Amino acid sequence: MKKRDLWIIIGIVVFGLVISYFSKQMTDTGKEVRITIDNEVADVLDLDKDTTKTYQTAEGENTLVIKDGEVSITEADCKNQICVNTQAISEVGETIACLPHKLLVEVIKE
Amino acid sequence: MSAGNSRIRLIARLAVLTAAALVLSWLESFIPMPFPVPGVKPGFANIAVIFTLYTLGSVPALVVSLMRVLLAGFMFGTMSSILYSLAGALLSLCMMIVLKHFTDFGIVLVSTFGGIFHNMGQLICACLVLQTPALFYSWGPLLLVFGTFTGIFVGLASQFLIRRVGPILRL
Repeated sequence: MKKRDLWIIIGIVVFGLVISYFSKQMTDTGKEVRITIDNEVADVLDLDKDTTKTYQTAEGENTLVIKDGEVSITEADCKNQICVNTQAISEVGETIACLPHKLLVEVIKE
Repeated sequence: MSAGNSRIRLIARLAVLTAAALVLSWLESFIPMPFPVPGVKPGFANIAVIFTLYTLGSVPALVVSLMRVLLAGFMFGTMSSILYSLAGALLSLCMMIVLKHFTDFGIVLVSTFGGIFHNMGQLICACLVLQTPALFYSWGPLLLVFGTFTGIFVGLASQFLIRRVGPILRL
């Protein structure tokens, strides 16, 4: 590998880390959670109240848990389990997506 | 060598490389990904695609990549996973072909951009399907970082293979 190529790669990594750091810093803790199924708003929940709710989509089920001001998906009957493995979210603009079920969980301001 | 003979050779090579890409996709499905980032994968199948790009050329690489996505999708995936793989694989390969032809970037750097654009293609596809551009801001930076690292790894593996195995394929 050329020295220049290595520097470009280091540049990309630093750039990526810097913007991920700042995008994390600039967000605020959210108040509500919006659940969208197939591009239609299915539910809006309060982030302060601990709840567990199961959503039925055309493709399958997702169980959502709100605990200590954070929301996560704990169960899904999809194949890839990506939404289940996604960390709990609490900042405005953060999302958990279940692509096979077209289900989207977003933290919003109000 | 007659023209018919070389066509048969090309078809046989593409078949071997597609099979290699498929096996790599399959192996990848056993590796647990403990990262809190959705959909991050090492992208081993790209080793076969990059190998094809540098030994046989752009069109053969496109054939291997498309065949890999479709066959792996039908065997281990779903319709929606094929859509996302296709978006990632096509954007990534197009970028790599452009960079290989129009810049003097080395294999590892080309592969790094391939890894980044694989993730970006999938993310753009997710934004379109879910009609939520916010996904791009919330996951873009992290996917950029992970794409860079997987791209470097895939690039180093490809570079090694192209040097060691490439000459045999050209015989």
